[in-house]
Amino acid sequence: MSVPAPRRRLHRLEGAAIAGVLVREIINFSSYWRSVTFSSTVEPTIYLLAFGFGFGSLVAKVGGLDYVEYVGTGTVGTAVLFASAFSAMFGTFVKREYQRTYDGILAAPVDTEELVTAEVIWIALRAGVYGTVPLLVAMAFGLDPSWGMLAVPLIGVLTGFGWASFGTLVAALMKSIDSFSYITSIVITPVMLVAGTFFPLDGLPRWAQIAGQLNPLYHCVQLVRHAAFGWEPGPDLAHVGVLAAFGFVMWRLAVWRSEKRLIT
Amino acid sequence: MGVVPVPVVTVGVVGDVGVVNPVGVVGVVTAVGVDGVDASVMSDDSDEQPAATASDAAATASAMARRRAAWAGIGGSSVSGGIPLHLPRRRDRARPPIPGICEGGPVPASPAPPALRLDGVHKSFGDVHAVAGLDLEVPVGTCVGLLGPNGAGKSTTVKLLTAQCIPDSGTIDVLGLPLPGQSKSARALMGVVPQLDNLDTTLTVRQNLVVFAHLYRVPRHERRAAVDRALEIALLTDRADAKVTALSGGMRRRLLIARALLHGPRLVLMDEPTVGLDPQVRQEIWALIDALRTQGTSILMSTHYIEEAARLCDTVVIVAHGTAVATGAPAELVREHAGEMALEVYGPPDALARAEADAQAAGVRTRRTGTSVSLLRLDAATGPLPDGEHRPANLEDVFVLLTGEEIG
Repeated sequence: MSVPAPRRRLHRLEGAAIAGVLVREIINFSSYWRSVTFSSTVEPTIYLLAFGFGFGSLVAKVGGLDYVEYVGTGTVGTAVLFASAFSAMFGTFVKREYQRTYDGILAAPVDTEELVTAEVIWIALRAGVYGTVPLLVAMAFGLDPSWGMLAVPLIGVLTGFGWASFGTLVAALMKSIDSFSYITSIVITPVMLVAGTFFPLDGLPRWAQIAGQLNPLYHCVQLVRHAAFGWEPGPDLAHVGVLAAFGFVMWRLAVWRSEKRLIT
Repeated sequence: MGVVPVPVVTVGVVGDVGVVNPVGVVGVVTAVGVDGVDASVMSDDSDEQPAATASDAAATASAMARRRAAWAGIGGSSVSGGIPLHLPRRRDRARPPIPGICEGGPVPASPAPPALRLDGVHKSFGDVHAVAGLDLEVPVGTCVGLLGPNGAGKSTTVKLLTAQCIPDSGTIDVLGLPLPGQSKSARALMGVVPQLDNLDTTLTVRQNLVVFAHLYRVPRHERRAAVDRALEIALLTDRADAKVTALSGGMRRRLLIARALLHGPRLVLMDEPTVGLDPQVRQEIWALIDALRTQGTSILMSTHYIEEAARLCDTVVIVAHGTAVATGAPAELVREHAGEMALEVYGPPDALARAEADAQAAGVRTRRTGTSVSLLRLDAATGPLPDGEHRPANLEDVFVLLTGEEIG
């Protein structure tokens, strides 16, 4: 049996290390994909039925769109947010503190930076896929498909990368899983509400509108709507830029704090 | 937490257990996250071992031959002869002395660098000095045991060697590579058996090995063979497709060891490899470790089991409070610190106290246990000794003498 790379100095962010962690995630996913996929399909159906037809009967149009179309595209952002932020928060915390998975991985030739990067990539990919489900459900209730919608998974991955990094950062900062409640209340809920998902930002106070502009999820929602109903190149480039910058900053912070937590 | 009744679509995965927020309300997400975790991973119960099954024991004997063949694939050398389940004590074996450490007076230093070396390593966590100036060396092809009680710094030492802990001062070299600078390269060449079970419980035995074959970068064309060999080493070929949760404690421990051997490591670190296992399973693990040592792999093993250190280790390093208090071959340590024979004196507490005082007055070292006093270094006696039962001195006597702590 050969011994791998006996004297070669290994470097940062190696593809082999990231691939190794991704393989672990993919194999694990094979054990729970059914339940996740089932719920990811049923839940948006229920919400779109409830709010699309419920509020839709009270509010005919929002921003020139049928309310079902408005919510159907808006909840893509929410689905991505939850699929990435919560998976990263709870998943990485449990794997670190309870399953001790990271102890095993870090004893192999994998560094914290590679571990965090692989975890975030995997969660982002999954968020990109599950983020499209509300769109598919909305189509069943009247949303017209368009070619631009093919970009929605990519938007989901880009957004999910940032929020997965955010979740990993939170998990690295917190000593107790109970503390996640604070993050959920203080960060996740406002982010979800002030993103133009269920209502436009125009009607909000000025400060809330400014906060919305700073909210990465708002840029995700705007991109999804533009993908579905027509691109706006200039603004959309800015939206992509905001999401990319958010992702990069969160990724570096997640790596930094995770190293502090995992390497003592 | 404030509950905001807003519709959300939540898809989450907690740990490796798929969890979906069933109600879609932000305020309940935390609770769902906790509840969604397999209870077995939420409790720190790694020492709790399921009872070994009858098939576990039966498989042992019949599969030993297969394991011998499997060993041939690890480290590139084969094991001749059988692997005894009941090992002779280390001091009974004919083993060459270990250069620089073992008995027999000065021995020319080996030209080969040691598998690992720690020089003056310190590591503190706040006010706690977990490792306090530890010097340690594992010559190539030997098994060195870190023997110490809980809290002696053994696990911290293992973490220092995988760069999961960074020393405050001192130098560490593993397989010629300085740590932590080249720790990743060093980790590619060594295997680690953790004290706490960190197997993926939702996966099968084979899947666990496949994952680590990728993590250890076993080449694609060798991966299947490496996994099959590891299954044979762990005596789990028949259980390859069983979920880890269906394994007994002994099986899980064997799987952890086999997982560390997937890539043919030159050095294996074992952190309390048999902690929490019953005696029969412990013997199985000892046989496995002994076979690994016999075929030339360097091993550093931490343990707080005296018998384990005495049977398996070429060299024992007794650690207390983060530092090495004695180093040597088990038999030599016993001879040097406790003498050949000990005298065990039994009696009521006041008689024991008198015997202890008399022995100390006669220049003999004593060790007080619950129901007796052990008199050691009888050759140094300058006066009469009380009546008692003679027995061979052992490593436990040495440990207690040197550290003042009982162990086990």
